[in-house]
Amino acid sequence: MATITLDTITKQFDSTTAVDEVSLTINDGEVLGIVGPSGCGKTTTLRLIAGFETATEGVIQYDDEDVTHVPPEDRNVGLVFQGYALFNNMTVRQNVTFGPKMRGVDKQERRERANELLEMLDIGELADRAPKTLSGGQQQRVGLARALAIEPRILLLDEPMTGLDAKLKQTLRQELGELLEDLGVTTLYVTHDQEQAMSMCDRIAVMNDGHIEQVSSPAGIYESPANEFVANFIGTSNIVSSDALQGTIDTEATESIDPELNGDARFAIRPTDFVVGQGPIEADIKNLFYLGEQVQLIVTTSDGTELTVHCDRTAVDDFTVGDQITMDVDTSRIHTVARQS
Amino acid sequence: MWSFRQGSLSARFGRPFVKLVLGATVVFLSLPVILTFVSSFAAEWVGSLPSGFLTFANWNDVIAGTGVGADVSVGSSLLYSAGLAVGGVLINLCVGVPIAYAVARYEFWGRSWVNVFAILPLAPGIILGIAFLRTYPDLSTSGIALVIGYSLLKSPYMVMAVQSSFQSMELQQIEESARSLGASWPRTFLTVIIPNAKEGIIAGSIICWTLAAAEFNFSYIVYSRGTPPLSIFLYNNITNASFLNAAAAVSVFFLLIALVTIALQIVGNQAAVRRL
Repeated sequence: MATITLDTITKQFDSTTAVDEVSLTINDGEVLGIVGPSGCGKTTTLRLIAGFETATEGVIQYDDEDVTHVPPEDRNVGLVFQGYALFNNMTVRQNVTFGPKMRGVDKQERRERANELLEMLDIGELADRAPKTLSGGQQQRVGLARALAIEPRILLLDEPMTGLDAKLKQTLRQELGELLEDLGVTTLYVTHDQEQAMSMCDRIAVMNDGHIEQVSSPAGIYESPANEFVANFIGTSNIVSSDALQGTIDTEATESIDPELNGDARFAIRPTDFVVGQGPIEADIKNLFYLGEQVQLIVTTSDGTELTVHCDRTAVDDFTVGDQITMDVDTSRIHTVARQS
Repeated sequence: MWSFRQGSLSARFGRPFVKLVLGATVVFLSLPVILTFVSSFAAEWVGSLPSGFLTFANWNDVIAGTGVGADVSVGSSLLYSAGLAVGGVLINLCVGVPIAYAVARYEFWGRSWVNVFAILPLAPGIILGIAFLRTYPDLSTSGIALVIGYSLLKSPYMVMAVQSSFQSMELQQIEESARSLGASWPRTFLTVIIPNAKEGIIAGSIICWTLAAAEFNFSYIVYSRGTPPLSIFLYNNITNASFLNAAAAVSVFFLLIALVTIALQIVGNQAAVRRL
């Protein structure tokens, strides 16, 4: 295990800058998630840490060791891919013992290590099977066992659950979370699925267009988004001006709390922070979706601002599209965010 | 009143009709091969079917070289062609597999041109043969010219078969997984990438070997003296001896192809179950 440090890392492909002066620290034993839209640079960042790409500028360190130009086979990195990437010319056990064999571990020890990991991941009975004959979830466990068998300094997970069905994803997420916590291995988890990142990671880095927009705990990212992009990307947010809230917020007072925004403030409000039924905000219901326990309302305020509102389904039993409603907002839950450039 | 229902008609007759067409096609295509093999054990073939079974005289003529079609036995000719074809396949393995890998795995300048040149059989055997005689007059009397010519002519089949295998796997992820586990690039290539493309390599080798062993045009132009390649031997039998002698010679070749195919499959399966 190790502390991984990226110091102003830039990666360019011809004229395209995939990663732009990113600085990031993954603490020893921490599970850090990188989330962001497609093409934001999260997988390139993972590949830079693994050694499959070389940084155009900047330094990557494992603890105090500069590994910027160290080839991947010498970095001791465990890698789990979305597509599993199992070796189909080998059995499950052979896949798991491949890494230790490359490191010169004797046959008996690598076999014992493989058996232990396969048992831990609840796939001990599959040791002699061919990877092709396993289900997606089983293959993903084999991939994880193979990566852990080399006792990596850092475990890199690249969209490991994409392609699995929702139920299996939920089960694996819980198991993987517990396993990573038990093993205490430094982990970088790259995903576009914010729910997975929120539930599994100690901290989350939100990337956009090659930059890191914010690094914080899952709660910190959700409750206090640094800017309009993070507020919109993590969960659902209504990004509005004060006019839309019709006197609910004292704009001048709010801006005085955060002078760095220099009058460029917008307000981020989560859909669940509205209280429907009474209040100063008048709006027309434009659309209404049943989500199960909750109902999502798309409403339009008098100045034309569209808001997304979530409320308990029992609270809106009598509402239909076209009705006018009044609502309030919990001002303590409103966050001032920088306008997206 | 009877009404036409497309669905029920298709369900009732569609599958039997397709089976009938496929069966007829297979019989039509394989009948010459089967009749050739069967007739090699016949004493004569007058009329539509061979007769006078069962005799090994034709096989004896061909194997012992006592037939009037050729002055050497089929054994020496077969061995010679088999050796030349193996040489051609080895060159194709050394050159064709890396080319197929490079085209499937990497983006590089001129990739599409490399792909086109690798998979298109650019020159017919007869043209390549004449070019060889002009360019390397000293080489043309040796087996080396035949080996090189066979490998050049058949390389597209190797590249296409192997490339197809490479493209069917997550090549980059597999390679990067192996390297992250501590394998160097050469070791990754030899112990993970190549075994995973086993089916394509075996298929490509079988196709290349079979076609090279039976290559006629190039052999006819380049071959000058000594033991004739199998295709020249067969040509001599067909043109100078009875059809039944030629049938025996061709049957020997069929058997050899079957044996080589089985042998390569066994080698492939053994590699798959080899333990670390």
